Amino acid sequence: MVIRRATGELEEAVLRFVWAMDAPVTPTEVHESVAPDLAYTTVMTVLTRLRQKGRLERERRGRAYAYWAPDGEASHRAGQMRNQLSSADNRDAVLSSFVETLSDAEAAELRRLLTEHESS
Amino acid sequence: MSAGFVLPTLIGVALIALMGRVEWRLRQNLSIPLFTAAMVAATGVVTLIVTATALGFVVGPARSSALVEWCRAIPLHHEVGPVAGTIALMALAATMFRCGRIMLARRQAVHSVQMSGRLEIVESERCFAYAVPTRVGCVVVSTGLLAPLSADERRAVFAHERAHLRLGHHRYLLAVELSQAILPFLKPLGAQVRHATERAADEAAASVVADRNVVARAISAVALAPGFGAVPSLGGGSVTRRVEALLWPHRELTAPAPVVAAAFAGVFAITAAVGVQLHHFASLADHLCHGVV
Repeated sequence: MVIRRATGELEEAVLRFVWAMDAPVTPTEVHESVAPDLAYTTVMTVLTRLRQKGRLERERRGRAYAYWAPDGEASHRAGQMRNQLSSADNRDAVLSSFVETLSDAEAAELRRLLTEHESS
Repeated sequence: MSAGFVLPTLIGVALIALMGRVEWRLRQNLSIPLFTAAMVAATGVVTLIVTATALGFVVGPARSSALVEWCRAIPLHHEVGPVAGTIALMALAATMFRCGRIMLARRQAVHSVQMSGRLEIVESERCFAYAVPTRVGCVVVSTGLLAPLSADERRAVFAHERAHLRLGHHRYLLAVELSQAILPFLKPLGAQVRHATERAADEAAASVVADRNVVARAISAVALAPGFGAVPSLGGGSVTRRVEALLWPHRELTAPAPVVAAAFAGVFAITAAVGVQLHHFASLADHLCHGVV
């Protein structure tokens, strides 16, 4: 029971990732981004099962396959924001966020760095 | 309370607070545990002193108790003035309140995602991506954040957040947040730990997508996106420093051996200063042994 539910959640996560990427993804990419703590073969099994269910399609890319979600399957993958996560002051203290807001000076400095890198 | 008890502690705590003002340039896998441990040590010692003072005020001197006989310096052993006692009690109450709020926020964050979910995409104009430390670890990303990013840059975001979970950064951040809540002057050191965790996750993401520039572009794109503004800046130009370190690896020099040695010497000095208190435990052991014999 517990294992079955976990498998269902893993399938959901893989589908969400494929949808979020909006481009064909390889099993390695799925493994690295969604479940690096699990075995590669587990991710491979999930991808195969999702393809058998018709929820993913695949095409050959080099030695491996790349998977993508067919039209119509892609929708409804995004959930609504839950109450607790919507209050920003709560999560900032306890979670790692990707990037924090820049001040105007920091934004200018960042643009300068990017220009400098492009020109070099 | 005797100066012999408080002074070494105060010096130790002040040194730890000053550590936050120095740019150490240590490797992240060293600086994250080192700085967190220093913060926890400082907080722990101060909390002990305040708790003992508050207890001494409430319980009163317990001269006959064998438990406190071993150390004549701690406040349980003699009268605690009403001013010191009241201040200690209020400080203790405020600390418990702030720590409780942090634990509650953490609980709410963890319960806001599916128990065994690994990835949630949230429909929102705003840009955010979080690593939520559930049992399996859940990454939450908004559609607003993904929209302007290329496929490679999106992979970098997922890899970055996954790295936070894999490296257990939430444990360090919780310790840092609690320490800061108890001793606000530790915030600069806390900001260094936070920055180091972001840098570590950036490097992990760079090795997953095998391109440092992609990670730098993803960070820049999100930071400069118009829909962004959910998370207040920590100051200190954390984002620009991350991008710079990714684009020009040689600019973020890791500290040469002497500096690392100096850092360790400093921390050992602090530990020793606090450890002076250990002689009390020796006295306790001595006392107990004599009691038995």
